[in-house]
Amino acid sequence: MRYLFCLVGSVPSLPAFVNFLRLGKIKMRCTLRRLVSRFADGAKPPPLSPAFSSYMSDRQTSPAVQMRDPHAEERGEGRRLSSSSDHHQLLPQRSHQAAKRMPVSLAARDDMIRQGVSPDGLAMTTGHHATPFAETLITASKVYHPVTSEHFGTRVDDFVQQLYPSWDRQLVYQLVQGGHIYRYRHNGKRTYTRVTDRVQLNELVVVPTEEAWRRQLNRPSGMEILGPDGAPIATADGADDANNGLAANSGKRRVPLSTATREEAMRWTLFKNEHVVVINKPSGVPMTRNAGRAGAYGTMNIADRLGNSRNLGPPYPSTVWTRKPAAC
Amino acid sequence: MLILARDKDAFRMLGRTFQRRVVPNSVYWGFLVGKPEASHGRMRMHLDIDRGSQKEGNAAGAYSATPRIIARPTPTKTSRVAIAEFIVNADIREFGSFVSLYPLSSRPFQERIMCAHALRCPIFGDARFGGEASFPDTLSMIWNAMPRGKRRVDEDGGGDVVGDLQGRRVPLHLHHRKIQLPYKNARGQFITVSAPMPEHMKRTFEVLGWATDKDDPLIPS
Repeated sequence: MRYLFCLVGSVPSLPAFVNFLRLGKIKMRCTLRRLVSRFADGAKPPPLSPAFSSYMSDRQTSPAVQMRDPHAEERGEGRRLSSSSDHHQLLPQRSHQAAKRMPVSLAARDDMIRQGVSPDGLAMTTGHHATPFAETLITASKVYHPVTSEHFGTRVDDFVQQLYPSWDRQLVYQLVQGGHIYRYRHNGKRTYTRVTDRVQLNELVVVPTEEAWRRQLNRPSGMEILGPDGAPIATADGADDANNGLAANSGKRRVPLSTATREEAMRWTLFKNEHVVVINKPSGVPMTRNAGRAGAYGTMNIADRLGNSRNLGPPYPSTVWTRKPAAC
Repeated sequence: MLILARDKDAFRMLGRTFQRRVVPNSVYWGFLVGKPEASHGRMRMHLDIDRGSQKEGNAAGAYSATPRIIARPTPTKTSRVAIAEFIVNADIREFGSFVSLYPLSSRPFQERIMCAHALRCPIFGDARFGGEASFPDTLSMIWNAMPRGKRRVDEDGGGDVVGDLQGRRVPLHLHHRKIQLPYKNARGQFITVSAPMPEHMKRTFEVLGWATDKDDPLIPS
């Protein structure tokens, strides 16, 4: 008790202490009022970039990011939104001009302009595959799917298969592996992805249209068209030859490797992804051709097998080298 | 094991993997002639590697597959350091040992040079860096079991592809067992690739009763 009295005695007086607290509250209120009046009196808020402001306005009016009452359905006040037309009936309509502005990054806009499509004059899909998703942009050869809060965190192949249930997983894997399905990050940078990557919020997943990959991707990366003898043949239009780096330096005759050599190369492969190929090189096989020295494997060497010399074709099945491979 | 980069970015990223490092990211298995004095340790050598040039009549170009290497215990202006750690996994007394080598640098033939000159235990079948000592009579029960072929004499004294000394055809008993790639799998772990042991080493290990499919715990997968 003696200490308590000392503590009370150290304060000048109790009413003065209460007044001190009240003054503090008033001061805080004044500060807040001043902050609010700064924007309410017509003073301009800190400037935002036009892309960011349009993006935020889209987010606020987009039906995909509206807050939903979880108990509304139980109360019978609402029903599950099954199509974009339902969205427009239940939620406040957006103006026509605002509907055209989509959160498209500058890189995506450049990509669309390069394809001859105006980014502001894009058609909004109301088709079957856009039903549960946000608005989707369709160009001549690509479809841009924004990832909303309902679907972020899913794997890329699951996301694409929800969009296109008729595409099997192997096809999705090949398209992702070949770089035909990719993502535009929220920072506007294009990112080649993997099937196991998780899509993130507010980014675009770019998928080629079925007509596009049927027309252009006759040989998506990872697939080869083999002739009756098992040797790879070029397509008639030669469109994929332009994409193939090995065929780019053509002019020399491509000598297909034998089936036995290809099978042996397949057995050597230990690991392969989109970045590296790891092969189990037997210790007797030299890296380059040794003049006059026949090793345990004869005249076999790695450089010939990789197609580095004499412009031989790639020995590894399911591998189309986009560049000349480099041995590390 | 041979790693091929599929594009320029992968090549640059893998290049950083093979620079000098603190934590080993690959392991070699070797069967050495003799047993090192220490059961584990770190080796450091300074290698002067002279690959020659095309002006000197090198038919292979500026970079020769058989460079002239001088190994020194102290550095010079032109030398490059080679560091590796080793652990003796098993041994057959003083006649041979099974050693795991964890290189921390990437110099050509550094494992073979270190085993022959730092550990004084050359790799079995290493005619180039071990010489006659790589084919001891005490291990004749192993190299006698090797399939004999036509005798071949190397003009440049290489013999590193297939050891060939006095008609003994013993392949090099060095195996790049495991490597950690700078890429992660779906679970966020680094991808490691293990290569199966070659047939001649597997045959030797089976003769000696050693396991051939053990996972190396020091390179986490």
